[in-house]
Amino acid sequence: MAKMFIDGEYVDSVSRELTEIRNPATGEVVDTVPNGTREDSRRAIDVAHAAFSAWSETPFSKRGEILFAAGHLIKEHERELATLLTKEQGKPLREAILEIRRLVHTIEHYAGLAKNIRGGYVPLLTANSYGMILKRPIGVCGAIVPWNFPVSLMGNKIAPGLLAGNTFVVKPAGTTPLTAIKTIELFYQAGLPKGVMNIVTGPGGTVGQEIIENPKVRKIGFTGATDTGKRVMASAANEIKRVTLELGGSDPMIVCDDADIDKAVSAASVGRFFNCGQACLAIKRLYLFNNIAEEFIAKLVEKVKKLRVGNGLTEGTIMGPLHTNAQREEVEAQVQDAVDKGAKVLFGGKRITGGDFDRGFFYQPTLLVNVDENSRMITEEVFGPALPIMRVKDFDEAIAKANNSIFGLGSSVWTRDLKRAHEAAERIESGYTWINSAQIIYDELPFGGFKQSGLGKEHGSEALDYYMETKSVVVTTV
Amino acid sequence: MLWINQIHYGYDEMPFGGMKASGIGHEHGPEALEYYFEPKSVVFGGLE
Repeated sequence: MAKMFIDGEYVDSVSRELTEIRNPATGEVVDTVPNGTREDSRRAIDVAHAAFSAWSETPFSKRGEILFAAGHLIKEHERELATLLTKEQGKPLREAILEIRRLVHTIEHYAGLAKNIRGGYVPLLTANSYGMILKRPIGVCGAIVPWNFPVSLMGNKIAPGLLAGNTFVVKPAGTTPLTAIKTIELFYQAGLPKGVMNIVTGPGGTVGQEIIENPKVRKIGFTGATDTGKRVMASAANEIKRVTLELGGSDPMIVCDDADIDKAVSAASVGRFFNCGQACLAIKRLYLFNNIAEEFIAKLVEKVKKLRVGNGLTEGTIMGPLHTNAQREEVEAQVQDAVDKGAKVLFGGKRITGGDFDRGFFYQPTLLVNVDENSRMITEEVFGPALPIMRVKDFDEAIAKANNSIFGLGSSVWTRDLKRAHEAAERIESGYTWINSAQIIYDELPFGGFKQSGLGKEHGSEALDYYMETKSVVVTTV
Repeated sequence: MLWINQIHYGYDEMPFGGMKASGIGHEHGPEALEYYFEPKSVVFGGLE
């Protein structure tokens, strides 16, 4: 029976109610968590508020040491955490291990920046005055984390946020709280002072809403769907709360006729079907130059046929189930809509049933061609294992179609032509563009969407700016 | 913004913008430019 973590202690909810966390591959109960309420959220916020003063005055070097120690402990518990993550989320164990490593890399990245925080000094504003630019933590931050990457996306908020001197209330997704709770326990083992990071489990409508509305919370770090992000931003506006929003994407992949086709085929397969397609940075629209389309599609179909779908804990599984049945139904409806508008399913397009498959939310990796640009698969985010493939006549058409989206998160272009590569980097409206690779996030580079894909940056040293206030000071020496 | 031994006066050299409900972002200072750009990450690879 898992519990919430408030003020450095494992606690139940005042509701005394429990919620079951089920394995999306088997339907089995993995564990239970408290069904938290607004009152639990308020208590966690009060605790984080009380802890802020001391934590914000703790030297950066000390905060860095605690982050390093937490990263080390998480690494030591990698297998245990990854297994729990697979059970509650559904992803293959191999991918769960990658997620835990990603979390550790992010924590280590910010721990390593601890001694590099700088403010500014502006000389001679007048003959007898100078300016200083101070960096101050913001205060209590709320981290609202989705179910697709329950711990690495938490790390993107808490690692820079804690280093900057903020305190946290974390709200994990209702269906994936377990690995996050265990991770936060390890932060306390690493020496994090009581109350600096708290986690409250329960519904977004109560636990999450309290975090968004409570005036003591000064900043919200949110990752999730664009529609939810808009509501978070609107609520946060009431008190001019700071927000970082990492929202939906519909990342285009453009394959030019001078590309390394085999590498691009592999990237399209991994890029679409990693995490069962439930990734903000998944490849969601594939644009192929006409003259290589036939070869590319034939090779991609062969590759996708070999993807082994199953329980994430089973050796050799490449793709797990969708996380919930609602998620599966949404993908099914989007595929059906494309078919209704004239698309042809080249591979997949159905649930996987029979035997153990009937217990989980399985769906075939799916490829579609002749997809109309007005289909939901193109205009909406497809958060599951289905890839629409479109042909384009040239580079300009590819760029125009890539940009014809409300989203602007990531994108990739495959070419050996340096001019095309450079032009793609400049012209595609997305926060990240990969040339001849895709989807791999680096801690060194800022990540955050253009247009309706978000606001603010995570990763990079830039993420720290979003967890600090810049303050100008003018000193006159009389 | 905090002034010591001086009346409140804005300098182009210093970023200006409120904390709490006084605002988000900054005007003035080279910092103001950051609020009119979108930083974009680009990864080049596979050029052999």
